[in-house]
Amino acid sequence: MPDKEKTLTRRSFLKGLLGSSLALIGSSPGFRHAFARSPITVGLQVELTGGLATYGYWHLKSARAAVEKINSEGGIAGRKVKLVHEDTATDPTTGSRKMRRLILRKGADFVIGSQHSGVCLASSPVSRRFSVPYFPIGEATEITGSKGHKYVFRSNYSVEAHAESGYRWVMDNLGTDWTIIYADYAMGQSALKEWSTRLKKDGGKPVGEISVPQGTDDFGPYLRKVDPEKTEVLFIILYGPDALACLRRSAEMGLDERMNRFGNTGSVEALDVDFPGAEGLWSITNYPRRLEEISAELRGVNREFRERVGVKPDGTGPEGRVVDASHFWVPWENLHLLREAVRASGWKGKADHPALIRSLEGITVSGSLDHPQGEKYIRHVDHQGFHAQYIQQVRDGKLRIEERLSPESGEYEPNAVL
Amino acid sequence: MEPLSQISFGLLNGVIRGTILALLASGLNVVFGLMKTVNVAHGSLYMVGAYLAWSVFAGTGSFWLSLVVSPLAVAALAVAMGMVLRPIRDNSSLTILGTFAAALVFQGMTLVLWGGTPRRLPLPLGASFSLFGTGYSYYRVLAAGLAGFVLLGFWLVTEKTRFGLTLRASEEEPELSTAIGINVSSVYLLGFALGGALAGLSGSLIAPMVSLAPDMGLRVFAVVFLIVILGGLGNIWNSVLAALVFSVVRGIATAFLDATGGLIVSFSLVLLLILVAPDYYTGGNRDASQN
Repeated sequence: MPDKEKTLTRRSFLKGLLGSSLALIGSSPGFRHAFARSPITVGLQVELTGGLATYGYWHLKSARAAVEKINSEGGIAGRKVKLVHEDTATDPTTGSRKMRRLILRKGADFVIGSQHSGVCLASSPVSRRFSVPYFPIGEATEITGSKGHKYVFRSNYSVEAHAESGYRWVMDNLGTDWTIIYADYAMGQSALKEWSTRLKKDGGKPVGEISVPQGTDDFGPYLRKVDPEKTEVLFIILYGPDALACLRRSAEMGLDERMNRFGNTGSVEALDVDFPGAEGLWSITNYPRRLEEISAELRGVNREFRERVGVKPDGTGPEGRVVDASHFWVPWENLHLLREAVRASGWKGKADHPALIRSLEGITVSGSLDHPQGEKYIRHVDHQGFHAQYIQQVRDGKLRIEERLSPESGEYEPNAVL
Repeated sequence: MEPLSQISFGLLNGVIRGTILALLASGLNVVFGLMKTVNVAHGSLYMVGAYLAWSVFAGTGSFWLSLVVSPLAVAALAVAMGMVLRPIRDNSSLTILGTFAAALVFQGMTLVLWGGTPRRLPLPLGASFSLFGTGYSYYRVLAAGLAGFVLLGFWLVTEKTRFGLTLRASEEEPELSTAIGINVSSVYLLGFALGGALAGLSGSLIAPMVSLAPDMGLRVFAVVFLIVILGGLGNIWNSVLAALVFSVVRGIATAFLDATGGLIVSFSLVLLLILVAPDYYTGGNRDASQN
């Protein structure tokens, strides 16, 4: 039998000619340019249903407004940005599945992540497996710590950064004997560890640690464990409906009059605080809710940023919805950060991910319309971002900023070297 | 805190919460009796009742009005659901799927109509009394009292009136009931209305005590379903007892254990009871006791 593989036939010659022609065309600058005009697809993993739906509503608006702005300014490196999103249902299993869907079905080149730490932790391995840069918003320390990898960048604070930045202020101003009531899942457990470790290290007294399942609506039995004789600060690490229920019940039980109450970023996030149970509550936040509380030099760009997203100066939006002020700027800023990294690295496609990662490592930005929250930097070693924090209090039904804490105040020892 | 006061608080708080849960569970029981399967949307009807209470308060400034509006409106919603599901009511699997779909629809509608921001209602009675050293609102006691009163009325209606007899006859012998002239289809919808009204009233009563969120219905359903299983499907007073026991055990366990421990103890109780008396939960002894 003749050796077919080594015999040049008319058909194999034509096949070879076609292949060579395609290869030549593909490598020509004109073709590459035309290919490069295809949109850059950015995936948004967002909580549109479930416990964090109120955050997701704003994150989608924030991301859409950023994409509209970026596209009106010529896109990124001459390419339009296409935003695709998936609802995580505030559930880690669903969120991880939706992460795959964003990458495999919707062709996301990058994914801006969930607010839910459990979703972020479940999605991080997917980002690594498919080598897709991931910008989670969830605040569990592990996301850029023990579970971090080179494709993960978090531009907003972790709970460890919050703790590092705020614990001394709480000890100095509110008291050193704390009872901590916390949500019994990734974010809550992570926050408990970071705050209580620092409290103990500096000579404070952890009076009690009370875990609460997500979705608790009767806080009576849990708050009953708080010892008012020994507790100076009731430290609340809860969010959404749980935080609201806890605040109301603690006031009904008279705890607000017997001790200071201090909450993490989620404790008043997206809540209308004009009710007796919230009055007097202290908390830490990434960003002021009300425009008038923002520094004079950044107030102008923040006014425009809020107008583009649909947030009024008082921090409310359509139908009186309260914005999740501490977080809603993150999708907006991440999209602009991505634009800067693509420009700096000359990113064209997946093959350029290493260059894009290098350009994000150690990046610093100044306060501007692209970065309305203010100056920040992403640490090279663990891809963790640092920015200013604020201590606020509910007074006369409004959140009022008491003190600004610098970006450097949150610097902690890295938990990972990537 | 002293263990005795912790137990006492858990006991009283558990009884109050348990009474409202029992009211909700009784609505689930009614619909179960008619459909011979579980109405997974029952928790979502309760959630709608709570949100309606919020709307009534926001619109009129009166919470008390919602105790009338919510049950009526939710009853109408339940009837509409019952009409949609009527063609598949003889198929338990399809009915479960259908009511689950309805639950998701109600949740989605709530998100669209009221948004995801947690809503709150002020306590209608602002005053509190001291319960073992901590404040406790009078409204909680009043709400439990109202729930208990309605439960008693519900029992009287279902056990001592002609309507109740018709309802029970349609549940137990639908063919025979049809033969003697009872319109079983109408009774089926009336059952849905009754179940819906009880869910709406429970939601309205609980609204000032909790944060309103669209997923509150699915969350409460797991607990109410367990209560109904624990008490025996179709048995009102056993469900009431089960709700009280479950709430008290959970409250007291929570006082001494962490969150997970409290849940494990409460749900283990259900498992234990089912293991101790399997015949009761599979219908053997219950049927015998009713004969």
